[in-house]
Amino acid sequence: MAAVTHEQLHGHHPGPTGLMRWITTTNHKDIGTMYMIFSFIMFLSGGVMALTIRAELFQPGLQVVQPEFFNQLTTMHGLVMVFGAIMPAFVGFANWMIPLMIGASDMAFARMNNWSFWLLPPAAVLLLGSFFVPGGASAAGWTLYAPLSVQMGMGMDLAIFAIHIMGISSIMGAINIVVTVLNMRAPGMTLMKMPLFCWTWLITAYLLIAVMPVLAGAVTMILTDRHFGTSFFNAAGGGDPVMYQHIFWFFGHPEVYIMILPAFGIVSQIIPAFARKPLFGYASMVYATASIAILSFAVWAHHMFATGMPAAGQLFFMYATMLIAVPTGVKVFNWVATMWRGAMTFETPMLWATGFIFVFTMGGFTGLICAIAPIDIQVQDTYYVVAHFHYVLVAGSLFALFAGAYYWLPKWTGHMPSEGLGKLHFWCSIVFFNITFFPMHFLGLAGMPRRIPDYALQFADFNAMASIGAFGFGLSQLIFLVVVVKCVRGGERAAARAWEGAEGLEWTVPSPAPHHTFEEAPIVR
Amino acid sequence: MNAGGDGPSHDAPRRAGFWPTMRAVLWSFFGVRKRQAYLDDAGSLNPLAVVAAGVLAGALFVIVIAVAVQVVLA
Repeated sequence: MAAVTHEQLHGHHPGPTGLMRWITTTNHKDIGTMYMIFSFIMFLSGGVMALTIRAELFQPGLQVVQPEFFNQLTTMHGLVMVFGAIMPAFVGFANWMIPLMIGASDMAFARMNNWSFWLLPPAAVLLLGSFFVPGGASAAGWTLYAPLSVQMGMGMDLAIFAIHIMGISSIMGAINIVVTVLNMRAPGMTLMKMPLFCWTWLITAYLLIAVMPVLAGAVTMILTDRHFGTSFFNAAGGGDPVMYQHIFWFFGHPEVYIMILPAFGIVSQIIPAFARKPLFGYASMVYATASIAILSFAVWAHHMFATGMPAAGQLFFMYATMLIAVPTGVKVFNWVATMWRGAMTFETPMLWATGFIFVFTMGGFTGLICAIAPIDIQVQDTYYVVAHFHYVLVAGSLFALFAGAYYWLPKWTGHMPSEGLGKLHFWCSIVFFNITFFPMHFLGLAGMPRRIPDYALQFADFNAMASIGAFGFGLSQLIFLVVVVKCVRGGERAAARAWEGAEGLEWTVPSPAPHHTFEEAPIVR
Repeated sequence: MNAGGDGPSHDAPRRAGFWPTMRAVLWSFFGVRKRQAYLDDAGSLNPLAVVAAGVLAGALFVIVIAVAVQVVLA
C-alpha cells in the first residue's frame, strides 16, 4: 500500500508513475495491493446485492424488486463473492506475503503475475455489466445449473466468459505460487520450516490447477449447448442435466477448500503470535491440510443427495464427507491447544482469529448435519444450507481475511491499525453476523426455501431479524474501510516486528516493507 | 535462488521405503503426527514418493468406503 518504491530509496531508474505504475507493475507487493483493493470493491458490490435481497425479504410479499431481478441478485451475489471477493483476496495475501515469508525477492513469474491480476477487472466488468444487457444477468443460481443456464438470455454468456477469464487468472496465479514456493525459498527455509500460510497456499494452488479447468469445461459445455447445437445437458437432445451437477461439484467441493485452506493458514500464523507459543502440532497441520486436499475430490456428490442417487452412492458420499471432518477437526483442536496456557492477549487480529474458530466450527458442525443423507434431503435448498455455507464462508474465509488484514496492515502501510476501530469492527461484525445467519437455521428447519423472493407468513419474524442483522453487518464493514484509509494516511508508526509475539521473515524487514525486499536472500537457521 | 534444499540435511539421500511413506500418509488422513515421527519423516521421506503414496491412499480410502457401503447394504 504505502510500500516505499525502489526509486524513492535509491533515487535512480525512474519507472512509470501514476496510473502506469500500477498497470505495468511486476512487483509482488503492488500486485498484492491491487488484488486486495479489487476484492474489496467486489465485496462491497456483492454486499449491496445481498442487502437488496435482505430488503426484499424483510417482509413477506413483493416490495422492493421483481422476482426475476431477485433471482439475478442471488446468482450474482454468489458469483461475485466467490470469484470476485474471496478468491482474489486470498491471492492478494499470497502475493504480498509468500515472498516475504519464504525470503524470496518476488514471485517466480512477475509478468504473468501482472497479467493474472489485470484479467480480473475485465471479467468483473463482464459479470457486473451483465445486469444491463437484454434479459438481465444470469439468474440460474451461482451453480449455474442446467437446464436453467441453457435457457437464460445473453447475461449467461457474459457470466460464462467472465468465469473463463477468472479461471485463467486463478490458474496463472496458482502456477506462480507453486513455482515460487518450490523454487525460491531462502537458503535453509526447508519445506517443513515454512510458515503454515505458505503450506496451505501451496496445497490450495494445486487444488486450483486441478479443478479450475473442470469448471471451465462445465461452462464451455453450457455455452455449446446454448449456441452450437450440442446437447450435453439437454434431456430433449439425449443429454443429462444431472451430469452438469456432477461436473460442477467435482469443481465445487474442492473450491470450498480453496476458499478455506488459506484461511486456516492465516489463523495458524496469528494464534501463535498472540498466544506467544509455537503452533501446536505444526506437522499435523501440514499433513491434515494435504489429506483434506486429497479427500476433497471424493465427496462432491453430497451436494446432490436430492437428485435421486442409489442408496450405495448416498452412503458412500455420506461416509466420505463425515470422515473428511476428522482432519478439519484436528486443526481446530490444534488451534485451541496452541492457545492453551499461552500468554494470550486479544489485539484485533487475535479477536478475529478466535472469532473465526468459534463461528467457523459452528459452520463445520452444520456441515456434518447436512452430510447425513436423510437429513440433507429434508434441508436441501432451504435456508439451513444458506446458514451453513455463510457460517463457513463469511465467518470462516472472510473473518480470517480480516484477521490477516489487521495482522499484516502494519507491514503493508507502516502504521498500526486503530485498535479501537478494529475492535468495534470485530464486535459489530460477529454480533450482526449471528443475528443475520443464526435465525436462518430455524427458517431452514421450518422449511423455507432459498432463492425465493416471497415467503409464507410464519417465516416473517426470523426474516425481519435476519434483514436487520444483515444491514448492521453490511454497514459494519465500512468501519474496516475507515481503518484501512486511516492506516494508509498515518497513525502510530509500526516497528519492523509490529506484534511482540510475531515470528517469521516478514517481520525482519522494515515496516512498511520496502518496494524490493530480500534482494540478497536471507539465511534461515 | 533455488535454495530450499541447500541445507545439509537435504543433501543426505532420502531412503524411506514404501511402508514408512504409507504410514506417514495414513497418519496424515487422521491429521495427527508425533513430533519425533515427523522429524524422522522430514529427514527420510522422498516428496515424490509421498505424492504417489497420497494418491494411492486416496484410492484405498475410496475402496474401503465402497466396501463398507456394500457390507452395510448386504
